[in-house]
Amino acid sequence: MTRPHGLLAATTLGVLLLACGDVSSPSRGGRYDWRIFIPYDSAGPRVDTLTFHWTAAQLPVRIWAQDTLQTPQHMKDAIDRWKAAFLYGEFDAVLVADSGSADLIVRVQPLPGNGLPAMPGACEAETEIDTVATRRELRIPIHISLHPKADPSVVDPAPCLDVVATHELGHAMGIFQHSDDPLDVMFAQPDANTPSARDIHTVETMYHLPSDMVPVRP
Amino acid sequence: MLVDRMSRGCNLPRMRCAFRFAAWLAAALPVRAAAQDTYYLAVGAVGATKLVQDQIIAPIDVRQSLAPAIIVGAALTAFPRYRAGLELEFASGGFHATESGVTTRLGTVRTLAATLGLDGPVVSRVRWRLGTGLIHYMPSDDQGIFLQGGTTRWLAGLGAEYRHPLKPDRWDLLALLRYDIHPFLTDQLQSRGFSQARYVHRLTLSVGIARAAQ
Repeated sequence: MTRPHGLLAATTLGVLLLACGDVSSPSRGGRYDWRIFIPYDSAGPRVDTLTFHWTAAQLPVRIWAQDTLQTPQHMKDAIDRWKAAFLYGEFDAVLVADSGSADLIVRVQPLPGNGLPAMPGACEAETEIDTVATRRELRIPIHISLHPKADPSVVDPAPCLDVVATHELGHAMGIFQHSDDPLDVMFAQPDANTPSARDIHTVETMYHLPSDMVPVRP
Repeated sequence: MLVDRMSRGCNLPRMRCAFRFAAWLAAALPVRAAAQDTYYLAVGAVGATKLVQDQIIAPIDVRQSLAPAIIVGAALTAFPRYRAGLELEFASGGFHATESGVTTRLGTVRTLAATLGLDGPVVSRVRWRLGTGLIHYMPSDDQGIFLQGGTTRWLAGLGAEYRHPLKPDRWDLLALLRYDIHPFLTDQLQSRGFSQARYVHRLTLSVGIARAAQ
């Protein structure tokens, strides 16, 4: 066998050996419960445990943010952080100028008092999750309220609003519970403004399970 | 053939050896310049196996769609029957994720592969090629598996070409078949726990023209 033909044969053999290998999925670590618990009594008192996420056909989620205290910028940063949690295009959102067509409305206003509050210090926020006529429907637009607790001219609310914007968008994406780990952005009183490994694994799992709820617009 | 005889004949007296070497050069060089050096251009399509295989709930595959490709190359005669050359292949196409039969488009990715190769004859108009080099992935958007940008990886490949002479001479019609393999792993995949690269196999079929240099 001549030298070039020997090289050709050796390379072919090497390529065939490489072709035999395969790679397993990485281990993703822990996650927390994200599902909503809804009591119902059509066949006696029961609790349904439901999961929700925006489906590919509903993306990008349209978000209208009140142009106060840099709220649109906080929401844009929150979108980027959550999008970065996904590898396979599971979530996308855009800011829109028309609140009438929005799936999610973000206002800076006083707390109505019956949502999912997050209070990291200088501000508070909440997301109203409204399951309407049947427990398998979610009313949209979802409303997020951001509420600076101090006078914005005295205490800069921006760092706090940055954290709660990401936290509340996590609720609007379908994380209907709080994490029990202070390092997670979905902890009830979050300090982190970036999703942790547990946050990421939670939303990854959530977005790869069938959604039990359908968004409906009245 | 001349090279083999030359090497075996060097136990002759030094003067005769030098003379024979000069004679060999005189005979070999014009052949090399006129008949073997070449450059070429071809267009075709490239298909590839999975870039990523993962499982969160159900298995997820990420792969490139069949992509149009353009190939340019040049080769110089290294030995009377063999050429060494550089080949560039550029391809641009979509890539997508598939899970439980549902496909999600993830954007566009461009690849540029540069290989240094050696080619030689199989039969009269058919030649083999062996190459190694680099492949660079350039995503249209830095997101998902490319959140931290593209990646550059080594590449090894095999190929075959068929040439059909055209008039005027020096021009050939060319059909190229290329197969290559490279490991694929991005910084974002590594940061998410993928510790091993996945080997991606690509097959390119293209047609074009080649010209022999004078």
